[in-house]
Amino acid sequence: MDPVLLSRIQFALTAGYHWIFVPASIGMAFMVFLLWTMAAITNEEQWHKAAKFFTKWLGVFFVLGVPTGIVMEFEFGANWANYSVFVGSIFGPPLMLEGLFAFALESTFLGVLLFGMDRLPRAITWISSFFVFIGSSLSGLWILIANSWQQTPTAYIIKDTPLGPRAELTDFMKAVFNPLLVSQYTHTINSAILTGAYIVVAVSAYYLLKKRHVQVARSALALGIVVLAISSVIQLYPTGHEEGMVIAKYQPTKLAADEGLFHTEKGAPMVVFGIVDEKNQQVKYAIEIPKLLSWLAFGDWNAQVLGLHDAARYVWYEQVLNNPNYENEQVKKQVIDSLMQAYGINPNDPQANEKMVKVLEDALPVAFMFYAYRVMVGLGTLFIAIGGLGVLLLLLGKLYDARWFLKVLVVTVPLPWLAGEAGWFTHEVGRQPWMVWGMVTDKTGASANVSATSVLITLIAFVVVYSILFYIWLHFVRKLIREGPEPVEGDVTAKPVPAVSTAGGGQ
Amino acid sequence: MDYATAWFYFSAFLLGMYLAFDGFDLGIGTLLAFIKNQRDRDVLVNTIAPVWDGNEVWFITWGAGLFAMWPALYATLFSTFYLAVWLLAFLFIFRAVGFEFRNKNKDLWDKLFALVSALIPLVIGVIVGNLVMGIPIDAKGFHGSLLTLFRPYPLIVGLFVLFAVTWHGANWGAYKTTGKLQETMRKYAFTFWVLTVVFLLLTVIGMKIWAPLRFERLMTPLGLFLTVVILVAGLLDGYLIKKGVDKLAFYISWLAFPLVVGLIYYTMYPYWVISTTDPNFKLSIHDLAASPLTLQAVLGVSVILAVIIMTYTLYVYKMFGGKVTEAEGYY
Repeated sequence: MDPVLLSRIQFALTAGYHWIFVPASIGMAFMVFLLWTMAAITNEEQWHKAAKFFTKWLGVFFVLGVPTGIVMEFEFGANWANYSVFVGSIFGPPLMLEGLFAFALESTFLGVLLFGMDRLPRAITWISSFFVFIGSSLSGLWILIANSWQQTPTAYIIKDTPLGPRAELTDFMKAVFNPLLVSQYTHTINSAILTGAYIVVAVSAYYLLKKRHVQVARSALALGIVVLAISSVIQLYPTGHEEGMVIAKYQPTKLAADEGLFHTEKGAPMVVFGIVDEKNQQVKYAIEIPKLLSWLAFGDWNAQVLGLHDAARYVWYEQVLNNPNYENEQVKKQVIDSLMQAYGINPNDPQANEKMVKVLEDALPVAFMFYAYRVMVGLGTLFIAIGGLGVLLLLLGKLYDARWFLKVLVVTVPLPWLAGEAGWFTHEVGRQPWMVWGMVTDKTGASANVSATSVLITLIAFVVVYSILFYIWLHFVRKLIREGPEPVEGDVTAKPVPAVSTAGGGQ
Repeated sequence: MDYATAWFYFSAFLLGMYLAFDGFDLGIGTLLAFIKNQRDRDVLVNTIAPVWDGNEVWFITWGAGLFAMWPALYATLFSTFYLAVWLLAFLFIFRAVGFEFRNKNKDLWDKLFALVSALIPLVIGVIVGNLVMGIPIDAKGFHGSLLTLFRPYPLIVGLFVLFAVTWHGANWGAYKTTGKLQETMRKYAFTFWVLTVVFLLLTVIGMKIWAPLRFERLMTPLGLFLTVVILVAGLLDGYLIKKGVDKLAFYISWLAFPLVVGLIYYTMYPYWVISTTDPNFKLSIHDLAASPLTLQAVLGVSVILAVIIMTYTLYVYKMFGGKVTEAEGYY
């Protein structure tokens, strides 16, 4: 077995699993802050009960978000040692500042919220919910600073040091505000808010269908559906659109693979759907909108969009060989030679550069990315429809009684996660084979001294442990749903109804 | 003082804070193994429930600090001791989960939770012990196995840290509870205080035998002064426990951790890594450091943030001040 492949599988597994809990925590932190704010403004009991109830939900997401995040911090040193040495000077500080700036705030005040909401003054509860939201969104900010820098690295110089060649900062703030940061951050945080709103509306809709906790559920549903509608639109425009434009400019191979664009075109169409045939380098049965891709990517209907092969050439020749951020030619040669050697290419081979272009091209699983991208965009469109419909029903005063719509909300609740994971796949698989764009690939970044057996042991351990954790976590989610929010005075529906007497059963 | 040195001692501060804060909740976790009564265990868990998550921040920050400021050290340690590192990671996962989900099956979870809470300080102590003693490493790389980590001296340091956090946890327990449980906590505080003092002495004696280079640093005026301060504070704590002055006893054990970690770091300065096989092979904090701008750019803001975190953390502790007597969880 290949330790690099196993490490990649392990990283994908642990990061993907972490990504179940992160958007839900950030989004729920936002919803909880809104709910406590509503409680403070109206001082109505059902808002307080709703706020308390969803604070507990935030707790159960956070519990798994933290340790699965620690795992990733460990992974950089353990599985990706060469990568850590190469970019640690740049990648490490944001991780550290995340702990100090954000995670401390979030975890400290989540403790206050969970354990103090019954006994501490309401002003403290409200301000704590604010700190938790600020902390969780700043946490995301620092992590995405680190992530986006790897995708569009800026403000660095590669030096030869006694520890080997490595990237060093030349300007901290410029590295922080690398080209991808703002769009990636807003797109990601907004997707988290959408996820949080979705959980709130789905849980509320469930109670309305079961005719339980009706007062609390109506309030939460109304708030949630508005947030859902707004965030679903923002997800498409401006955040998603902005991110796409940055990627078109800096990561052309990612764009080409996402769009299934094998050949360079002027006035490239947007493929709504089709079947990817990687072997023959085409998308079959494509449903296209002419020239739209060119316009979306470059704001010009006739702009040229690079196909996969030309994009790979562009990346290798322009972004790697012509990268000016090397201290001198010698260290540049050293890094580039080691990149070639990692793929079994002799740097003195006259065909070496063309072979590397082929490596970059082959590293991208086009079909996988094409479909994942369409899942993300398709679901995003669906969310706009659902959110818009919900707000319309709310304005017409029919939201709480439209049982078919409430059922839709309940059964579609896994979709924000599916969209989030699909988005994460298009983003992270799309940078293959680069760990750091143009500098470190998964082969050159892996630990040299970790055996395949060791990685296999931990990989199996992760599968087992994470499965158990997920089962336990589901158990607590079910328990939360069963118990529901505390009863509001005068709300006869508040008491849990035994499953047998519920119309239609199905609990 | 140069930036690498400043970071070195700031790193000591972060680890010290971790053991001072998370130390007592790890100690409470370990003590659950000795408490038969279910209600008493619930009360003990409730004394730490609101704060344990925030306490772990210091560990994450310490780890990220090592990564950011000494990436080569971080990468070497973590990839060399791959399986041990993952053992520690799984311990953290189980702890977080056991903590929140213990209501499902308390007897099972509490046993698991106690075991995990004991193993975390033990493993951290073993890692520190390895840094103090040195490892079989040279220019060609590391020559050893997973078992190399668990040599006698690192195990002594590991047990020292385990006993110290348990003592610290019992101090916290005595401070936060009442009645019979409080009496029990005082009893354990004293027992583990004795063990801590014994293993502190063993750690120092062992340093002379197994880590002579570090011992030399200990024998400098500042090293000796710190040792004496720690010993006096430690002995005073035993007296306070016997007298039942729980609050002050807890404050002193709290303060002991930054001091002890500071002393250990001081004895290691300036070498993160020394070789047990090649006397000339040493890697200093300067050899392994990140780029100068990185060291420089984040130091000031980190120190300021650490002070801010300390301030609001203490405020939160005050909010949850007073004795804990109820036994219900929040789920």
